[in-house]
Amino acid sequence: MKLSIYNGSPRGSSSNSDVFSDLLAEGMGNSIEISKYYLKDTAKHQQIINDVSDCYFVVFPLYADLAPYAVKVFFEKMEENKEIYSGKPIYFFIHSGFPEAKQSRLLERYLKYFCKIIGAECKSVCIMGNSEGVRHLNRTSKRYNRIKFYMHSFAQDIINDRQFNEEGIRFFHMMETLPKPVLFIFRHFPSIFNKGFDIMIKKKGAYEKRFDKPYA
Amino acid sequence: MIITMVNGIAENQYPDESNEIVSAAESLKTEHQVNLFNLNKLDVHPCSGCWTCWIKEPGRCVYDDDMTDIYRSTVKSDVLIWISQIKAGFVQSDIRMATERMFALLLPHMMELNGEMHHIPRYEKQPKLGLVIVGESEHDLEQEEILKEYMYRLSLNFNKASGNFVHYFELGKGKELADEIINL
Ligand SMILES: Cc1cc2nc3c(=O)[nH]c(=O)nc-3n(C[C@H](O)[C@H](O)[C@H](O)COP(=O)(O)O)c2cc1C
Repeated sequence: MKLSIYNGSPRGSSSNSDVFSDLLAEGMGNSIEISKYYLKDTAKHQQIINDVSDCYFVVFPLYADLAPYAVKVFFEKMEENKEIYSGKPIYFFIHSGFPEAKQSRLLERYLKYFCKIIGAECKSVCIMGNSEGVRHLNRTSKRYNRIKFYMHSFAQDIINDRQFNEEGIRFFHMMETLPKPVLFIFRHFPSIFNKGFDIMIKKKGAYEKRFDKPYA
Repeated sequence: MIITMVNGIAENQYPDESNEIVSAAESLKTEHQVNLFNLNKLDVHPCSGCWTCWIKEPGRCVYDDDMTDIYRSTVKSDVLIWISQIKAGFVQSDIRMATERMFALLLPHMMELNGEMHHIPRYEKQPKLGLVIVGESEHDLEQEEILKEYMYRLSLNFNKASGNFVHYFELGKGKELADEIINL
């Protein structure tokens, strides 16, 4: 059995997506052959598609309510080559900056529709919110190790031709919408949630310019 | 009214539809300002996810390409229209590229909108959004629902849900399109 891993992040090897794909590959051990590809270089797409596998794992961030540009270009290429994907299982792992899974539901719906168009089997879609910091997580942190545990469990699901397990889906899902108390605090005291951005802007020496309108 | 139109259809595809859409845009010019951009003639890079526009050079994209003209037009506009064909069941990738670049028009800071987290617009004026689909007279309902939901979500992100539409363009119906734009 052979698996292709497609990482669709524009950030390539320094992305949050890469943490997920590496942990998945790690969880596979030596039991199956794996090809891993970055989709950000669109010139390589045909070459990537020509490396045919038995199943596919696609990971990318939510971008402007759908997929990053390079992923969409790749999907268009997959459509042109749909006979390659016909009847094959595709697993998706999609993640977003905002914490609510609700924000990714449209993308989930589109992925199922897309698989229908190309005749592939949309085996599972796992949604994760609040992914931005994952690439900076300390490898000994509790959060990193829980992500590792569940990505490894997903690897076993793929090897055994199963859907992603419910427990893993639930772990990554976190919340469908903001819980009421959080929503209340966010609505009335948004600055608490925005402090992190101000700190980052200050670090770059751009705080005075934070509300600039260069294209006005 | 100021209208920005971003056309993703290549010259050799759907020439009749393209001509009619351009004529509809021209007809609006008697009373409105219409800025039409043909993406296939422009140099626009995809977003690299670097966050320069949020953190390092607030509001300014790291790429100084033709998107700059689209930004300048968009921030003055009442309506922003995307013109696209359908590929892989969705809006074509070039239009998506320009759409993701629009994140430079938002602050990184967040606010609550309809119970969800969204970014705060950087500019006072946020155009209403329209999506014109070409070449899909026989589309299925699933596609239409997905596109409608997509435009609603984009409008949450870019204009505080103040207005959006999806228009499946049909030959001979340029007037209907022009009407939908000005009545948005
Ligand atoms: C241009 C752009 C658009 C984005 N759009 C969304 C969005 O619509 N919703 C969301 O929750 N996060 C959005 N994000 C945040 C990313 O999904 C998030 O930062 C993710 O962790 C990036 O993962 P990566 O490092 O694998 O690329 C966007 C980020 C960028 C740069």
